[in-house]
Amino acid sequence: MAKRIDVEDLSAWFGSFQALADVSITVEPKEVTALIGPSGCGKSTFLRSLNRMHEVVPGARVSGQVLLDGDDIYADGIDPVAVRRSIGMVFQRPNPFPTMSVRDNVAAGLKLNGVRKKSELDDVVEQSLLQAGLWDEVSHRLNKPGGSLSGGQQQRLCIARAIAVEPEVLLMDEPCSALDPISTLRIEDLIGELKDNYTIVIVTHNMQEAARVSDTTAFFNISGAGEPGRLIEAGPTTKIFTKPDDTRTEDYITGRFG
Amino acid sequence: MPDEKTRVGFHRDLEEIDQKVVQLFALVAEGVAKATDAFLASDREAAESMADADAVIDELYCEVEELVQHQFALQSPMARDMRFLLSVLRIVPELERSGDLAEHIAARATRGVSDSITPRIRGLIEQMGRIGTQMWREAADGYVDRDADVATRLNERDDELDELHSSLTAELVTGQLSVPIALEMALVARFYERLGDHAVNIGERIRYIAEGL
Repeated sequence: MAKRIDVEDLSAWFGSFQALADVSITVEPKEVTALIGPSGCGKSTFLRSLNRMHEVVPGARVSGQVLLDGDDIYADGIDPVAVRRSIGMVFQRPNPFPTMSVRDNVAAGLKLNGVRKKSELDDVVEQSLLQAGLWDEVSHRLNKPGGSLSGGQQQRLCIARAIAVEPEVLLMDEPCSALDPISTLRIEDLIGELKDNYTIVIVTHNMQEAARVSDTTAFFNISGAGEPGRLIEAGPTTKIFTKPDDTRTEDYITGRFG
Repeated sequence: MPDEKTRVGFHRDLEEIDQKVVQLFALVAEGVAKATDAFLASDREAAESMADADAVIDELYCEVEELVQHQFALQSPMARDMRFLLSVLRIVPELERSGDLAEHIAARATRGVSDSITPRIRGLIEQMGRIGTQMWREAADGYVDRDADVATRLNERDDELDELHSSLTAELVTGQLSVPIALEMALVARFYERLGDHAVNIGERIRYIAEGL
């Protein structure tokens, strides 16, 4: 299920502005890789390049390669929608379909993929909600609107929706930044459980969160206004937060910017 | 990254901790030198002043521990800050114990032990005192400079101290001293030997601060 991502010389542009330059990194399957760095360093752009979400912005483009278990997701003839189905994404703000029921929120992707059989949909809904750690809280109100859940529950609903279509990779763009501390810890625990089945890449501004949830941490930085973001260093999370190789990484994680 | 200083208060607290640890190093290093002088000269006044210095060491030790605890509780230190704070927590007990050992050596001055020892034993104690003092000054400099290599140098010096300890022990078993004096001298020799070990332990922690190894 979980697949490996090999990124080679990835650069990204918004029109003439280069947001990201020459990123090469391997994202291991069944691991959590955290992307950290200051605002504007290109980490979200990098994340969105991993499932071809970057190109939905008019004028945006990438160069380089993103290989999913060896297959180039940017190769000619590859359907971006199919890429996004196998590389799911969870966003910063929980974005369930607010008036759609909890059940239909989870089943939405499957229905788009043509699954119609109720028993099959029900099975997937239950399994996805169980995996997302939400089943016990919503099993008695599957017909209530998704928007009636709390923020933390909505985010787990979005995770359930993302995993219902059985992706190989889950991308998470600051999934806890809009949540309270307890909901944050629940999502972080969930990430730890999901990595048994998925490759997970998470962008976070919270370094303690990166330290808590990830196996590998990648630090992105920008050398000045108008410059593209670059990958400075990636390595085992314990090493990055104990003794990083690059002084720029150390200055960032210890809060020494000057 | 923005060109501005952040976490200013946190880094100021780290500097304060660092300064207190430097002060502890100075007190211990000078304590070892003074203890040897007081012991060999049977200088009771100097020995008593060592007890006052040890009280200062104990107080500083408690202050540093509390300050480090606050940083872990409030600041989530990482990377070199975490290595520094972890190392300080390991270093200060070694400093506190070494202060005690120096005081124990000086305390023998009040009992007039050195008046009853042979010239050869006196010579061995002089050498142990000199090497012990050098090791502690070197450890203090190594800490200030974050010198990873000081661990290796301290290890080498400690071998010299261990050899002197063996020589002194061999001298004591020849039976030239009365049993009570020989027992006291065995303890003094042991105190120097332990002072060397503590300096070596600190050298390892300095290497960890500097290199993370």
